[in-house]
Amino acid sequence: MYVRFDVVKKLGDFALEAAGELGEGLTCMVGPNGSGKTTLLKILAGLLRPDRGWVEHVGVKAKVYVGELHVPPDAAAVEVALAGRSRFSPTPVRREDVEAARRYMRLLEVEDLAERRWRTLSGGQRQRVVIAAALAAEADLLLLDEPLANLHGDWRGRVMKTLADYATGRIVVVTTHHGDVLKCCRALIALREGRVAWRGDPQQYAEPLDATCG
Amino acid sequence: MRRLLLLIIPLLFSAAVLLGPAGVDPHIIETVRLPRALGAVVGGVLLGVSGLLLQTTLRNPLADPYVLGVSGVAVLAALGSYLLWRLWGLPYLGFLLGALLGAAAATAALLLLARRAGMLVVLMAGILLSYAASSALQLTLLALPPEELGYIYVGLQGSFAAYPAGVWGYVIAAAALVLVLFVYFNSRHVAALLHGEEAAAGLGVDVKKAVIYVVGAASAGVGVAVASVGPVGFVGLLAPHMARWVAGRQRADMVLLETAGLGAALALAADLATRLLLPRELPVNVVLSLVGAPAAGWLLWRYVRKI
Repeated sequence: MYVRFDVVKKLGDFALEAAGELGEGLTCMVGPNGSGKTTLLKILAGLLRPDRGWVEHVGVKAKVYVGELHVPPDAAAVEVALAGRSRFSPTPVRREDVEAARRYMRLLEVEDLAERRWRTLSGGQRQRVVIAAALAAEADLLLLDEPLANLHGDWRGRVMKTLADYATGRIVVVTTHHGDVLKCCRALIALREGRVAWRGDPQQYAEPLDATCG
Repeated sequence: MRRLLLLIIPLLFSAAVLLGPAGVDPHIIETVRLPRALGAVVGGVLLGVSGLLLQTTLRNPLADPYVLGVSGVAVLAALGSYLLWRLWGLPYLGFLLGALLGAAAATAALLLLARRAGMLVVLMAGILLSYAASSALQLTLLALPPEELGYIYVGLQGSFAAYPAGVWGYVIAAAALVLVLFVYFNSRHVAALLHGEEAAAGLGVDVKKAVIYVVGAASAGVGVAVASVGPVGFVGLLAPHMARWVAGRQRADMVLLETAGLGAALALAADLATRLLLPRELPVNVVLSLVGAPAAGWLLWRYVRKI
């Protein structure tokens, strides 16, 4: 199972021109704001059509992209996790869907929040519920846009470890700004101004990612 | 709650059929009260479910076919089409087709607007649409000879008394049931639209299909309701909120049956109140607005407090 791509997409002044290959396991995609990470993920998910080029999914049966979800403030957390089960059937969610949603909530340690309303959850708790929703989709290609947003130090590492374990037998791609978690990734793609600046083994990626002090 | 509804609806239905100034008169029951009670059930279910669909896809807690002008445009188009089809001697078929078409056009327009504008803009546009349709309706009525005005006027006001007696009544009820089943068997995809169209697409939902289903089902619901009982207000707003409140869930697929049941119960109760509690019968919208307007105000207040 793999995904190969060679695409060009123009959005106003910005142009994405990227080519590469994704294999099984966890791939991290890094790059400054506006370097084209989200655009590339959406193209790989089939949500955006490239102006030129192609995306080839080999052996991929289901692909899921999770970025921002609108959630009504009164929704229970488990209802958000259930969103991940949308692709399985058009009929109302069943007991097995609720069980799967809760199973992935447990994995991210938010199962005890299942009945809590969305407006009462912190940013980090919401983020973990959204990740649980993404995992509950059980897709073989999972594209996660900024899953570490709102998560603090310790949790970033734990979520990445969970994603790395989940990625056995699947292709999982995450975008991130956090250099401290790249150890978890099997492969790394660095984008800069719409182009692939570097790709390969994250251990050999030397460029400082989080030069936040000036 | 589902079990409680299974108890409440038959109770309200029996009350609607058995109670009245004429007592238990089989003739009155068959020709007047039974069709009217059936009309309340069918209208309540259709408007409740349509309201739920609109609230979910517009991501707008105040969406309601009546408030957003969908019912208003449907009535206007129905009357226009009635006048046209009268020329071929099929005015009531024209009325139904017009109602369906009008509801579909208004629903599609609101959904398109919602992609570009915020919730309050969509709401204002819907209210303006409803005013415009109402004025145009009054002007169109001038084209109707006064002797024909009487019957159709009841329907244009919104009244469960306008529901057809006999076989047509049962045909419409069957159509409503089919519609609810159609929505039920597609409700998981509709529920995903709550998170936004792009998010739903990312989660593997065929959004184009889901939106077409929603526009089709909501406008069929409003169209059939308008063609049979006229523009009845606020059931579409209140029933989904009551359902979410009793079920403790927001997802459309988890509150659909409760919404349908509470829509029927609300319509039956409102109609009983207009018939039995008031010294003289008034349009059912009077009672529904009495409950609905403050409820809408409260929802708006909750929304405004958050921004």
